[in-house]
Amino acid sequence: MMRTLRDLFLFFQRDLRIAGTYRSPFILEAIEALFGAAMFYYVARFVDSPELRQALPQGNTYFAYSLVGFVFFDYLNAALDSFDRSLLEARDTGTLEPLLVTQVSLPVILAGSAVYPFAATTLRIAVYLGWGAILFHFPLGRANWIGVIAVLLATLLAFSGLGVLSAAYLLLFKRGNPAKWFLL
Amino acid sequence: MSNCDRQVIKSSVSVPCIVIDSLEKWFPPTYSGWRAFLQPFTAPSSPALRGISLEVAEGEAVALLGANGAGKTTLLRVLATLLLPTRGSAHVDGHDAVSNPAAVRRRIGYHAGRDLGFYSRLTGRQNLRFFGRLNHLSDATIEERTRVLGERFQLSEALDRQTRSLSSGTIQRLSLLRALLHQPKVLLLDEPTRSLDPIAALEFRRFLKTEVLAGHGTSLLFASHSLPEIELLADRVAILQEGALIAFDTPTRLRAKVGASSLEQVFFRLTGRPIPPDVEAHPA
Repeated sequence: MMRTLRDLFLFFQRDLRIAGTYRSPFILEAIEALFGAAMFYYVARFVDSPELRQALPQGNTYFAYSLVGFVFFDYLNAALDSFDRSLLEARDTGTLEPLLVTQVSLPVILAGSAVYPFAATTLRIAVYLGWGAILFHFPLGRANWIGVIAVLLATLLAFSGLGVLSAAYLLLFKRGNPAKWFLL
Repeated sequence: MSNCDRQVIKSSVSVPCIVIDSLEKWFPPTYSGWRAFLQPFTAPSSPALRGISLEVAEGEAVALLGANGAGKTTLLRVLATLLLPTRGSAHVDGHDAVSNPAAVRRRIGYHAGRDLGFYSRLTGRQNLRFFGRLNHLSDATIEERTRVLGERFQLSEALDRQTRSLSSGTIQRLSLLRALLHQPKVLLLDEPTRSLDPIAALEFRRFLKTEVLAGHGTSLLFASHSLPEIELLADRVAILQEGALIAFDTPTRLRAKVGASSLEQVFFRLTGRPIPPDVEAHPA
C-alpha cells in the first residue's frame, strides 16, 4: 500500500516538475480563472430574472448555480480526459515503453498519470471559487463542504471508470474518446 | 583452449537465463480508413516470429543478426513483456513472460532501438531518478549509479540539461545508462550503439564486455547490424530470417560450418543472398 502511494506520488512529482519548466503556468491559470469567473458573473447578471431565480434551488443566484455547475463539469472533464491523454502523450513521446518495463504495474501507471491533472483541476477550481467569493459575492460560507467533497470524490470515482475505458479504447483504436462524445 | 571453446563450455554447464521455446508472434494486417476499426478484431495473419527456440546461459552474450524485419526487435519486445506471443513461451530467469511479467521486469534492463523515451522538459538526472525510483531503487543508489555510469559514459555534463537539448547520441547513452541503472540480471539491447560515434560505441562495447558481462555475470541478448560489435561481444550468434531462426552457434563454428572467413560471409551464405564481390573476395 505504502509503495503504491509512493509510486503515485512519483508520477505527481514528475508532472509538477514538468509544469514548473513552463513560464508562469500557475499565474496564467489564475488570470484565466479570473476572466472565467467574471464571465460567469456577467452572463448571470444578463440572464437573471425573477422566473429564473424561482426555478433555482432556494436562496441561490444564477451565478452561484452556474459556477458550481462549472466545477462539476471541470471534474467530469478531468476524469474523462486524464487517462487517455496521459497514455497518448506517453505514446507520442516514446515514454510509454520505458514506463511499461519498470516494476510499476499498469494500473498504477494509469492512476499515477491522473494524479497531477486532478490536483491541478482542484487548484484551478479553488482559484475560480476564490475569485468568485472575493469579487462577485459567491456564497462560499453557505456551502456544505463535507457534501461538496463527498460529491466531487464520487464524481471522480464514477467518471474515472469511463476515463479508463476511454484509455483502453485509445490503445485499441489509437484515436478518439467515446466516453467524451457521449457525455460532454 | 581458445576463447570460443571456453565460452561453449561455459554455456553448456551454466543455467539457462533466457529460455525461448517455439515462440511465434503474428500481427494483424494493417488497415486504413474505415477498415481500421476492424483491425483489433482481425485474426493475426502476418508472421513476425516463427517457432523460435533458443537459450541464453547465465553470463552469456547472444547477438541477434538479421535483415530489417527479420524479427529481432519483436523477439526482444516479447522478452521485455511489451508484446504477448501468439504461441510458444519465453522465460527469463525461470519466470514466464506472459504469466509473470512483473517478475521478468524485475530482472531485465531494456534499451529500445527507437522511441528512447525521456521527458524532454526534465533533465537527464531527473529522468533517471524517476525511472530508478519506479524500479524501487533508493535515492542513494540512484545517485551513486548515475554518478559512476555518467562518468563512464561521459554524460556528467549532460545529466543536468533538459533532454530536449541533447543530441541523439547523448540520448542513446542516457537510455543505455537507464537500462543498466538497476544492475539487471538480463540485458536486452536493441541496436545499442546505433547513434553513437565510433569512439563512444567502442568504449560502450568494452564496458559491456569487461564490466557488465565478465564483471557481473549479466546475460545479454542484443540485436545489432554491426558485425564488429557482434564479433567483439557475442559468445553465440542467432541468425534470423523472416521470423525464423536459421542458425545459432558461436561465430567460429558458424564460419567453419559454411567455410566463410567472416561473419559477413556467413550471413550472406546462410540467408541465401547474393554475395557482393568485395565481401566474397575477403581472404578465407
